[in-house]
Amino acid sequence: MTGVRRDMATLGPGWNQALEDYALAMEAMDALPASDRRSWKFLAAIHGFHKGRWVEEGAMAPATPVPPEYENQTYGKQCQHRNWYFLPWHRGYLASFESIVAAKVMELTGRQWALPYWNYLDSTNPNARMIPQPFRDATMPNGRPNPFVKYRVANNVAIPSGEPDFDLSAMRENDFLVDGSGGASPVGFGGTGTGAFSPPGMTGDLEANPHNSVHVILDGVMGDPRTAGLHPLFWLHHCNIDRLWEAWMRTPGKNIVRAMTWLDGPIDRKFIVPKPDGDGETYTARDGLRNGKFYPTYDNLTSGTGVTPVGGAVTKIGMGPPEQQKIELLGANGAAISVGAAGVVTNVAMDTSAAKGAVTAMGPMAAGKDVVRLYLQIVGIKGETPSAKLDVFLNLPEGADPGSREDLRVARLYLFGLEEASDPDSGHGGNGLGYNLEISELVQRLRDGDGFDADKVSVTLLPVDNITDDAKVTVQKVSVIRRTGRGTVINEQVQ
Amino acid sequence: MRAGLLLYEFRTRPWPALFSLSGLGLCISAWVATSATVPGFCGIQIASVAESLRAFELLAVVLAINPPSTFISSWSLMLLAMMPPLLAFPLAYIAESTFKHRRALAWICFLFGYGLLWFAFGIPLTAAAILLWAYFQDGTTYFAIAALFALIWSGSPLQQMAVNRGHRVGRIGAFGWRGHFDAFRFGAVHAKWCIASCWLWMLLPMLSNASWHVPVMAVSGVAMLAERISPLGAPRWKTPPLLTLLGAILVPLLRRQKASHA
Repeated sequence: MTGVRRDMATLGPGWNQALEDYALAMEAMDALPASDRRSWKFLAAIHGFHKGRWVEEGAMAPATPVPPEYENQTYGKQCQHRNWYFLPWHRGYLASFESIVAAKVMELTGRQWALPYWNYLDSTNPNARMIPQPFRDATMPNGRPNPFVKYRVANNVAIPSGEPDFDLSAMRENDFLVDGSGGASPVGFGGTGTGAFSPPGMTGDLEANPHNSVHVILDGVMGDPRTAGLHPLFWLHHCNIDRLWEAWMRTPGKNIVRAMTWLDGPIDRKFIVPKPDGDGETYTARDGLRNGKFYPTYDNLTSGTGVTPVGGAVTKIGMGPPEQQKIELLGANGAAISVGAAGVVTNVAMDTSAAKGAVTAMGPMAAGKDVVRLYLQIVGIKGETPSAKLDVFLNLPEGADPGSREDLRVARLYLFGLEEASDPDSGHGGNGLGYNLEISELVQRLRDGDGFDADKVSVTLLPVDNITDDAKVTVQKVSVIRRTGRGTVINEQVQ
Repeated sequence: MRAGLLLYEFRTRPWPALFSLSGLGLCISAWVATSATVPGFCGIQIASVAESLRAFELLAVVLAINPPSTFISSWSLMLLAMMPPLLAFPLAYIAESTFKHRRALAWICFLFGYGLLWFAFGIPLTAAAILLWAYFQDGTTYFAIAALFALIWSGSPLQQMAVNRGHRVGRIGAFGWRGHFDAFRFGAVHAKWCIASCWLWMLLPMLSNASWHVPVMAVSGVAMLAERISPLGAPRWKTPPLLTLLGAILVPLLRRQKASHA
């Protein structure tokens, strides 16, 4: 294992040693043959690869033969999204990348190196969202072309302030996975469970926000999972996502999944990454947990995480064990919809008595009492662009200006991997993207304010970016689901 | 593929119920096979004078001596014996998409759509099996050739395309007759891709000698399940999933045996 992973913002301004060494390593690794498992391109292709997209982005010449390991279901195109391996797979992937870069830095400079993280949600740092200058400079300090700018992003200055759904709300979720006993599609922090077959995936909370948010906001190669690994910011971004996961796991009251299929899976293949010597190394989720070979060390798990991993005893109220929580369908819209340049309103028909009961039952968590949460479930989102942005509103009045009704915003969906998820031959079934969007707070506000009529529920989908009449996004189904648990006192001793 | 994890997963819902249904189909098929008085498959009688008839003459004779109900029951038995584990994914998807009180009917509509297309395809497939019986005469050779074709097909890019599309799900409406029709349509579309990907495995049992019919059905069922649970991906030539599954089971066993003898 390499050393302690640190906040990029604490390593010094501009071309600090860590970033300079990173650039030197990237320059050397990008010069290696694409078939070399320690090359920049090979490591990027492990995440995703598409010849056409790589040629478009200048990562590969049209006549270049594709290394077999990019496409033969060993190393290449391995990335796990919209399932419960998203976090542990990326952990092993990061560890491999870090060890190879660290070995290259040692070879070139004699110095130690650890992967920094981009702590973009650190509220104590006014420049947290800024992309450091080295990622824009044309040259490195040594005067040679800067490899950091070789692969393009559309936004290389900062994550704009005021971007909705770029926050730490995911960290409030206590359960990695609630599969609801087959009632409706699962919810949770970590993504859909898989077994002998992989169901259409639902994006886990952390993957949706801020993971997808950053990818789509930066756009360019970062906006497409098939090219994202090419950009040096990809690794710093994922290091922060991994740190958020670690902070979540160490926080009292969080329920990590313990299924053997997760710990030792997947069933249908083995995850494999290269080592610094070029040999392959298989791994499982277990290898990323405490005492595992890929277990990372971070300098800080509090700053910019929204949680406080503590030691000692903690008492709080939760929703009870995930396996005892239920998820049930309450209603759904009438047909698939297509969103182009104009927004679309779709009405959601509800099982009225069940919906009214759910709305009435919502309230603060109390021990021994049912805890009810409501979600919008939007599934089968398909399109022809690598990514897009889609705003979702609940019960937006006809003719109302969405900009003045932020109180009715459910979410901004950052549709990372839209095109890939829509392609049946991409390895993900072609079922598009799926999201669970919590609406408990919004519905309670409506209920306690002007009233919430369970017979009149409408969802408005508004295009934001990359959605036009020529490049529409289709949505297979919009549903409302209820998640029910039992208020349970949690007494936990955290080490 | 990880055989140990797969077996662990098969202990959980809905697998035991689905395997039990398959087992029931295999048992009934075995009973029908042992109680048959003339060579045939799944109860369809093929006259012992087959070798003296030309192919289409044989087809006419078989149709004459076997009422349609025999074909329906024999094909139903084959579907019961081989299909249930393949339906774990779509049945689970329907469960997640429907209200509890509509779920059973949604499953029935799905199975109706699925069965309808398989029954329709069963007609030309059965006719092809009978014609092959008559044409080749030497059962072992043509069975071996067909088995080889089935293996090659299961590793082919076209078959991968069909399997990829077989993992697509259709919209299932939550209310009214439209929701049930969605389930029926999903069943039919799912069957279409199922047929495209595994038609040769369904043909194979019908080409085997009567006494091997049931074991071949079991192996074909395992082959189709292996295809269904293999990773999706870009269409390309690959190791047939049945061989990958066998390797996943046998290699660790052989290693363990070697280690214990060392």
